[in-house]
Amino acid sequence: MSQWETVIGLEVHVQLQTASKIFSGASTAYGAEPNSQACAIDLGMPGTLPVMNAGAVEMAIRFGLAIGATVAQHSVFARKNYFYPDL
Amino acid sequence: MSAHLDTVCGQLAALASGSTSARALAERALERAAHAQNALNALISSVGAQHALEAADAADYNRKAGRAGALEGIPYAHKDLFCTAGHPTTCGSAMLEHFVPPYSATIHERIGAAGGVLIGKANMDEFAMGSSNEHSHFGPAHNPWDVSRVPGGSSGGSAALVAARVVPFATASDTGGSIRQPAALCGVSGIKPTYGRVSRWGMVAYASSLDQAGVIATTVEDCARVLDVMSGFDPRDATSADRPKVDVDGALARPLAGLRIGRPREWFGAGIEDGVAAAVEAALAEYARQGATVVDVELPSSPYAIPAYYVIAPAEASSNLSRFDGVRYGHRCADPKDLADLYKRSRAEGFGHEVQRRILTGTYALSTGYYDAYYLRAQKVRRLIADDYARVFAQVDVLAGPTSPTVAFKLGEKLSDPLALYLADINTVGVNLAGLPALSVPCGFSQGLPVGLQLVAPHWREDLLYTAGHGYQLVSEWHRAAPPATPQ
Repeated sequence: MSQWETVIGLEVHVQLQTASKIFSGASTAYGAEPNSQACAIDLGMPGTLPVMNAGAVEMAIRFGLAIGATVAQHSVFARKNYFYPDL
Repeated sequence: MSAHLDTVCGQLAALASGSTSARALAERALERAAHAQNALNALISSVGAQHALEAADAADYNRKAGRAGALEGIPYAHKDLFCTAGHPTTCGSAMLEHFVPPYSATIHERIGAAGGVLIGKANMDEFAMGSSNEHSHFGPAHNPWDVSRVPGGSSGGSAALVAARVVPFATASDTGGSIRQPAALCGVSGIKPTYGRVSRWGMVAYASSLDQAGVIATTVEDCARVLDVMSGFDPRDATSADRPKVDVDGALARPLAGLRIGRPREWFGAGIEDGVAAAVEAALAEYARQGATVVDVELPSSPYAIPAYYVIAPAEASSNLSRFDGVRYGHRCADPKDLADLYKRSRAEGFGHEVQRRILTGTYALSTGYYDAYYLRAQKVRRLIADDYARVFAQVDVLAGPTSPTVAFKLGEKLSDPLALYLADINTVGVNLAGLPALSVPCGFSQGLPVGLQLVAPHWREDLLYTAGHGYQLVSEWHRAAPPATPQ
């Protein structure tokens, strides 16, 4: 049994306290009526484009610095494509 | 007959002098549009006389009040790829036949703020995929020079409207040549700006790393003036560049003497029709007579541009068009049995065959097991293509050659073999892969049909295109030639 090494990973999702969503200006206020905070960008309507929320990036960097992590100087977005609704 | 009304500059002068009004220009455009619609099928929808004349009256009022914008009172059409709030935006597809966006494209807002008067939405290949405007759910558009022939694509409707002198300019988009090739086939001028010059907000996405909005008009000067209104940083498009505008006046005033023109040998390859090559060579000779120097250059990666494009563009399209699922907007099949059935039938019914072909190709190229061999490899080839251009631009200011290998072909002629139609883009796709600005200007005729000269400049150097294109139009008459009157 001693040849086996236990490796445990934690994938932690944290909701950031930004005023708006990560890719659109729609509100993230908790407790609002369903579907009342989904804008055209969130719905992926034709011609709309996502724009990165700068506040979210700052928070991520701040967290990385706080825990002594190495912060990447250059990050890239790559789209993942699914054929099923990924919730 | 007033040929000066064929241009934006001419119409602006007539408005400024009081010899015409925006209302009169709008009525003229609406009448010409209606007259040409049967023969050309260049419009998918008209905004209607009421809306157009209201906008025209507002423009006349602004002019009287001393607040005339750069395009105040000029009638125009949008390629039906650009969202216009409150008015159908179909992208030439059954999928969006009844789609009315609640938001407008940035270019629509900017042209409107400058006083432009929208007349209608122009026909196009479905979702901008095509080189002949034969892949439209609303039927093909026809070339005003010979209505049995294609106007080119995907911005066929835009080019046909301008060539037929219905409107002095029309917006268009270019992902692999879709502004330049129809401009060439219809004998008009068209510009695709540097990637990032014009905002893509509200322009329905085909291939996001290649798409750019531009304009088709009868002169280079008009293209420059309209592009000036359209361009500039937009915080709603993260790929739009924060760059100063082009000095249009300075570029137009600069002489041709001393301009260094590169003639890529690969652009004059085996597939180029003799008459096309002859007209282009004659144009190059004219440039030399005007004091420009023409030198042979090489773009060795040219043979790989079409294969790389037809891997990358369909890959990006497969991603961009996955939003059309019948759930939130667009066509939804009747009585879906379950989610899979909803997706399958909505998409099978909503998309035409060419769109389906490209989605399948793109999905394949991105799938596990094929991603490295196709998509990743194509992106590496893309870098080689961009490097070729960078290398030649160290020696020359602009590149010149035929925009299209042939003049306008007959409707139906290239439909049985998709690859034959893809090869229409042989000289244009490399430019999109490299993100460079490019212009097509009329340079002659072959078999009675227009021939286009393509000019390409380094990133952000639209000014060099204006100098080269406008300088040529000052000493040639090809851009003034209009097709015979369209039969009703």
